[in-house]
Amino acid sequence: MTTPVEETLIAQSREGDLDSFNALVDTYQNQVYGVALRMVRDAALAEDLAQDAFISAYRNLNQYRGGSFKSWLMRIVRNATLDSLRRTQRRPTDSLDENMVAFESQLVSDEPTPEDVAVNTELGDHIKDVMSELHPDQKMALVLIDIEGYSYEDAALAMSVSIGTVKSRLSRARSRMREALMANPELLPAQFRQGSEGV
Amino acid sequence: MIFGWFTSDRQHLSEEDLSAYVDGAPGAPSADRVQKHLAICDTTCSADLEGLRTMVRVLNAVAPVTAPRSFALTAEMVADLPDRKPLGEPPTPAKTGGWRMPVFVPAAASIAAAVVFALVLVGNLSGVIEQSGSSSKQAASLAADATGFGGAIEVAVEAEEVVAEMAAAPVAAGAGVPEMLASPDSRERTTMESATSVTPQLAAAGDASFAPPSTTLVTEDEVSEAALAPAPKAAPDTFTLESAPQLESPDDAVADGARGLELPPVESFNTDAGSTASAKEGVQVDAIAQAAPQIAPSPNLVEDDDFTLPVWQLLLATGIITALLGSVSLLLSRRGIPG
Repeated sequence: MTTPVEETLIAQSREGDLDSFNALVDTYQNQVYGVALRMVRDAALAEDLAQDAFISAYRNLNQYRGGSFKSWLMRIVRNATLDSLRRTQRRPTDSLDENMVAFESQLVSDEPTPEDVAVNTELGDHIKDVMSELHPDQKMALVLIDIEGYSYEDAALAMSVSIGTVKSRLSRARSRMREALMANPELLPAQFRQGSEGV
Repeated sequence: MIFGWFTSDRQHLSEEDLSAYVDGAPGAPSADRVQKHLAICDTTCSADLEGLRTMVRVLNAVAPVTAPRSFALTAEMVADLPDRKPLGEPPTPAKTGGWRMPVFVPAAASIAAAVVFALVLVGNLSGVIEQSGSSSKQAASLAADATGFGGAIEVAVEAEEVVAEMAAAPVAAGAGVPEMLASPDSRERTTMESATSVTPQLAAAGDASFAPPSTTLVTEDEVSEAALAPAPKAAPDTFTLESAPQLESPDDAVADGARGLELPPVESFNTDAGSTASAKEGVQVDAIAQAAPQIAPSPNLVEDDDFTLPVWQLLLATGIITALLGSVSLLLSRRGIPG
């Protein structure tokens, strides 16, 4: 849900206070850029999409009717990324391969935890390949819930679908991802492999 | 017993159920049900659940992405916006006061219109049944009245009766009008003839007789006593005399005197009358011509028992009103006016 601070910032932004809106941008720009990057797998394109999403959010801020501002903002990102993917499918370019490195590098944070270290580049590649085979809607559900930590409710709002649809899409994405990971258990870090060895 | 297999713990858990169970999502199967099933399941449900948990843990371990730069907006990015404010109207809070149209008003209006329509329809049908048993004259009168020509038909009948009476009248009756027709010299005489054919009472009153009957303005040199004698005899049979004041107001007639006789409508009758050789024909033509346009507003032309409303026009008007009320109700509901 939107915090009272965010409500105040939104109200001030509606009056044309750009600094207030930029405070919201600072809060959500990592999420916006991360979702865009994981959806389009193109760092430069993800930057453009994130910037355009914030501009669009400001221009249409009066259409926000309350509720989760994060979900409302992510709905804009989702629409932008899906439009971009449709354009890319109609006119494929080589930029995807060039920017794929940026996506791989983002799989590991700057200050990694032990688990982050465990999710190595090879595993990251594998995850990336599997995600690329998913339907965009299934991929969005997987990114929002399993990577970005959204609740089912927020994800449903961001995707403009019902919770049941989110569950269905997430289930299919997880099933595909589970099969891929279990087919290559050697890629899993030790702590994860231990849990899957009994399978 | 056999149906219990499908609803018991032996039934396998679907991928969606397992996925929701891992997250504790709303609608997910209970932990008790899952554990009972896993305890007796001899297939891969346990492996699927464990693999699912592992996969989720791996994805949860993926590090969050850090934006490579700030996406803060600048004034140039929103320079095209008016006052650099977001577009559109900000959402208005819900109305808490003021008048609100009750929800039953549009519905009641529509129902009332429908009821009126039904009553008119039923009344019309019953009226048609009754009319079918009436005389042919009444039926013809009603039918003609519905088409707007009833007045002309009935006036024609009445005019023929007038002509017959005048033909059977003493010579004095015929002596009045032809005598005036025989005067070729003055325009006033010709006009007087027309007035006589239309309104014998007015003819008796003279040139200024376009004033109402109560106003008696008679000049000696225009009408003789002999010509006036038969006029009152024809008066009771000529119902169209009452329409004469419509040609000119009484005040104007008094003020204008004889000039009032030169009104164009009167002259038109004069032409018809002048073309006829006899007073009988002139009276008949004038009576029809004069009565035809006046038959609609005149209640004397149709008996009260035979008078009916223009049914189809009434039905059409009722239908239009019903449609309008329904449209208004729909508009109000779609505009979100609280009810």
